[in-house]
Amino acid sequence: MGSFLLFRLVHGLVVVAGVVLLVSVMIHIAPGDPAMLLVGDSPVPREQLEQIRRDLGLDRPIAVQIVSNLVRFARGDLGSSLRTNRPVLSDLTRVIPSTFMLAVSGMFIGIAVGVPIGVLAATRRGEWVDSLATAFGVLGISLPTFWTGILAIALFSVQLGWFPTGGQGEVRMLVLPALTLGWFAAGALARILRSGMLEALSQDHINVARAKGLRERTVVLKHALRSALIPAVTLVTVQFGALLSGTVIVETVFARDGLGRFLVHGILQKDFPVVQGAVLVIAVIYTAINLFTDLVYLQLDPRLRYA
Amino acid sequence: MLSREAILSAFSGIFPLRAHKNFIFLLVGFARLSRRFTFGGILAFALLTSVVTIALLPHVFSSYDPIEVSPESIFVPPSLNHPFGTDNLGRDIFSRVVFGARTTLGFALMANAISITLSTLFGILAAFRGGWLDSLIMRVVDILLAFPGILLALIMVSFLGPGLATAMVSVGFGQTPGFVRIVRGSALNVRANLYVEAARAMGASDARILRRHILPNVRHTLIVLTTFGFGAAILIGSSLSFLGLGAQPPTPEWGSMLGQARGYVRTYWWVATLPGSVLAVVLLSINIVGDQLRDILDPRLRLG
Amino acid sequence: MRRRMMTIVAVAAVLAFQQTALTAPLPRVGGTLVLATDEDADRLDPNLSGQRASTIVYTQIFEPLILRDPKDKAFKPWLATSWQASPDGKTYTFRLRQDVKFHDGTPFNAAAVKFNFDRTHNPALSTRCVGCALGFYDSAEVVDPFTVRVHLKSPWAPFLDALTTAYLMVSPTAVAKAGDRDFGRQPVGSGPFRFVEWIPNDRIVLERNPDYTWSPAVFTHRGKAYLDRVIYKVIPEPSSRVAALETGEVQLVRIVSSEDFQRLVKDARYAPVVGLLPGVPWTWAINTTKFPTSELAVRQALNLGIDREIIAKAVFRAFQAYGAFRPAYTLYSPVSWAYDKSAEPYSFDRARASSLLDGAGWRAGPDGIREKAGQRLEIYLVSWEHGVPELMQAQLRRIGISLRVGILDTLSVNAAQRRGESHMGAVPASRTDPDILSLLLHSRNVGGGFNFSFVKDPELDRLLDQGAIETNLAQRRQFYVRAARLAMERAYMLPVHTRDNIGLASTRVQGLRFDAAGLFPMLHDVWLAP
Repeated sequence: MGSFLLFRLVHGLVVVAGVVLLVSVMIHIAPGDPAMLLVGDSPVPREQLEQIRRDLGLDRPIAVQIVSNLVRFARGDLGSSLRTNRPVLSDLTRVIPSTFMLAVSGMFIGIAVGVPIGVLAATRRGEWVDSLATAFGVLGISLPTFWTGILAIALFSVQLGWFPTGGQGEVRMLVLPALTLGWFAAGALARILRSGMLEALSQDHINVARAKGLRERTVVLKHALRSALIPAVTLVTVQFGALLSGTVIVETVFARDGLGRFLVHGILQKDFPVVQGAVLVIAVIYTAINLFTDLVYLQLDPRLRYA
Repeated sequence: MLSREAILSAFSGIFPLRAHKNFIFLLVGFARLSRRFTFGGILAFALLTSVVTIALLPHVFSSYDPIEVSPESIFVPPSLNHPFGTDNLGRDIFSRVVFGARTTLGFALMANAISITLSTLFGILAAFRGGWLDSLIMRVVDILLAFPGILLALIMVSFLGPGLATAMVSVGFGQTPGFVRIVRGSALNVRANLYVEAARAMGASDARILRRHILPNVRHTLIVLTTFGFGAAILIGSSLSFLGLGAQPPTPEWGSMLGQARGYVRTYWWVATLPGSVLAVVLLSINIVGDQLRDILDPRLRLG
Repeated sequence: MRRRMMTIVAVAAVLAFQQTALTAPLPRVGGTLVLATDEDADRLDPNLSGQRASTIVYTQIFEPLILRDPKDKAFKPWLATSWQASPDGKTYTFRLRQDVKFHDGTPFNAAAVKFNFDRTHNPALSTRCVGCALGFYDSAEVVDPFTVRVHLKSPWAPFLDALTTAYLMVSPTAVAKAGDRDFGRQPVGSGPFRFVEWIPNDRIVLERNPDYTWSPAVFTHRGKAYLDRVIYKVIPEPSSRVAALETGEVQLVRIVSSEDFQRLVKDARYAPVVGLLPGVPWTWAINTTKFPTSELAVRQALNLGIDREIIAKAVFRAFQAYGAFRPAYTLYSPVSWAYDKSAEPYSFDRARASSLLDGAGWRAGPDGIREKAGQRLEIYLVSWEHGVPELMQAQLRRIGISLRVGILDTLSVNAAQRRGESHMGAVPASRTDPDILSLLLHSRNVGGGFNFSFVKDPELDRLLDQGAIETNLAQRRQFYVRAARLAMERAYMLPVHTRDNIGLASTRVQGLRFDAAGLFPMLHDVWLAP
């Protein structure tokens, strides 16, 4: 186990370094001149723009900019946002908790709702329960999140007044965004789990368990679910990673200051320090999750240990 | 070993017979097993067939030009003349949905084709080969997964120009890393089964194991991924439509129609809700039919 | 008996009259006003920042030397009690108020003013200020503790206007304490509100300045502001902003969609907030160096071939009832003092457009789109907003022009224009001084500046340069009128509709007025009814 962990840690470092490198190159290659956006919504004289470009080092060749940014980054200096002059580190410490709470609660709802529905659909395959559950799952993944969010605000905030229209800092502000995200996650999870369960239920070791006289419920929950969970767990981790940077829509609709919005605004304004810092965080969290998942894999399916 | 033989085996593993025979097999299978279709399945299949027909023959089903703006009749609610009402520029929404079927489904199909093909290739390769190849593929996948999709889309648009074709490529490539992980997970699951070990012990070649054991069992994951990916592609295009992805005006496409209509949800609800419902119903049908397909093609389910 | 009756009636009448006079409500002191904006500020530092998201906040914290009276548009004193320009227009002398204190207790004086000017024009700080005298400012001189003299390198007519918007006074002591880069996060000014806290991307909180006694005459009351606190809440999604208004979480919303506006303005609980903006209307920059828009006939046909009335009505109907978002036929909005009807050479005239194109050799091809020497008349337009482009597409098709549209994010729109990939592109919002036109059309702003039309027209340059230094208002106006007319005749740009400032407020909000530019609310006189 020890060497396995070390192995994976090294791999993790490679991934993080790779992501940061790739993103740094890409953000510089992307089109656009950040200086024009920094002056905001009004034209200014060319000399002023050139002064700003010089100040930000944008007049150097792209390769020089990339190298110098990476060197600074490698020294541990995350830099400051080009737009606000705020240190990226302080921005990150501010936005990560908000997004983390959102992603975790969204995922939690997704699992709590999606897993039972997927199992139900699989065990009652072909009946109306299956169709209903499938329909629920598909509905979750076929409605855009901004839609669900706007509708949720219109209904639960404006009409009923149960929750605020957004923001962060209080739990009640988290409910609607988490539900919005969770519905989508539940849908995907239900689908994958149903499929995995069906496959697992028809495998030999299930019949063996049945032959042993175990109750159907034990068969389903203990044996089939376990192996069905593998693709499901993969999906959860893939989704979680996607949620970290993909929460931008929910964060925009519900006015939450999170990592997703931070990253996307940084990209759309070519604010390199912001993008580099945000992607670093995402890569690190992602790698940690992957490591965790692979450990879970091993637990779920002992056969893999010898694979 | 990416030999020609292995690739052909792979293909025939997923589809047991050659193309035309496949089709006949499917039809016969449908006919023979039509009793085993649930009512929902038949409904879904019928709906899909109608949608495809409509997509291929839009002029038959719509009475208005989908791109013709009509500033005098903006935001007309659903009525006899305009069953889905008109949008912010007076265009008939029903016609836009009808014409948009082809654009949207084509886009989702292409994006999916890219992501499913690539993810099957690399996912199975990684799971089956193991070792350093697995490590390499998974590291690359991890790097790409942490890479923000929006940045990828922006770069693509800057090189390929805005529009649907760029969206296909962006979304297709963007979904691949995640799918690789899932396919690999499923393939790993299968590979660890005893009968694979047994087959290997009996001296079966890689290609044979691929074809007879791994692929048929990975198939169901692929089917779910395809049906899931279909919807996901459309939705990603929808949310990124402000970046230059998705169809540019005036081409109708369901995803960008939904994206633009989000400001009207509380005032002119039909502009967003009706196309959205159509999308949801189509995706639902695709998923149901996908499930039924998988059941037909799964040998063990037939017996069990 | 009758007499008594008469007395009773008379007294009753007097009382009734007094009652109606008294029902005009008195301003209530206290309360918190919450405004919803779409974007967070970048830096609350008027010397170094110019983004609108920041300006709407810091115009309550910092004060200018002079201001334009919103009613008669004349310059009136604020922190400066009087001012004088030298005959050559290169020197301005200001006499300052002596009773002004910054929020940190330090006094406002000539040294502070000098500090502000020097800081804004310090090349090491690369200011992003919008409308300041970059390139013209030379130095500032402290004549006596409350008299300051500003020297310009050459006369610059927009200077007085710039003083009202681009030069707000910051506390030198506070800058020394916080440092240049960080002052924007701990702003200290002299305004009716002082800074409390800033939770990035969430809210900025201001509170009443209890020592405020130097309000300009333009304000309706002297002394402290009525409101206890002002909170600027960042809500990026337009429908969520409006939802927050409906739930009562906010009382004033900036930037509302036409549809939401229409729905809520009918509700007695809400009132429209309208600021008509002078400056350049919504205009497409036409790339004059790229075929086919390099041809004058094509550019003129574009100006003749679109029906602005229909476009504006279709997209902005709800706003038009308030005089906003009207069709624009020239490069200055009708409320700008440089506006003149003589600079509107084009109306909607398909026949004339067609004949111009015919005359230039463009013949209709098989699908109706014109062709010349094997090339189709195809024009690529980039913007970040839907609506107008689609309508233009349909209209231009009727005269045989194929308009290809790319809806992109702002940075990509800029990039596409800069790289010369597009024929027409959206241009960002503008300021009030008519000199804004030189930023868009003067040759020195090509290639790295905002001149996306890539125009290098010596005659136009000359007019714009003369307008920039002419101090006589009537003559100055003439230069800009002629410049706009020239630019329109040569069809360097395609104006479509005016851009105005539309918001919604709860009817609880009383006393709300905008500055002379129509952009920034003056909150000193605002009070909240219960």
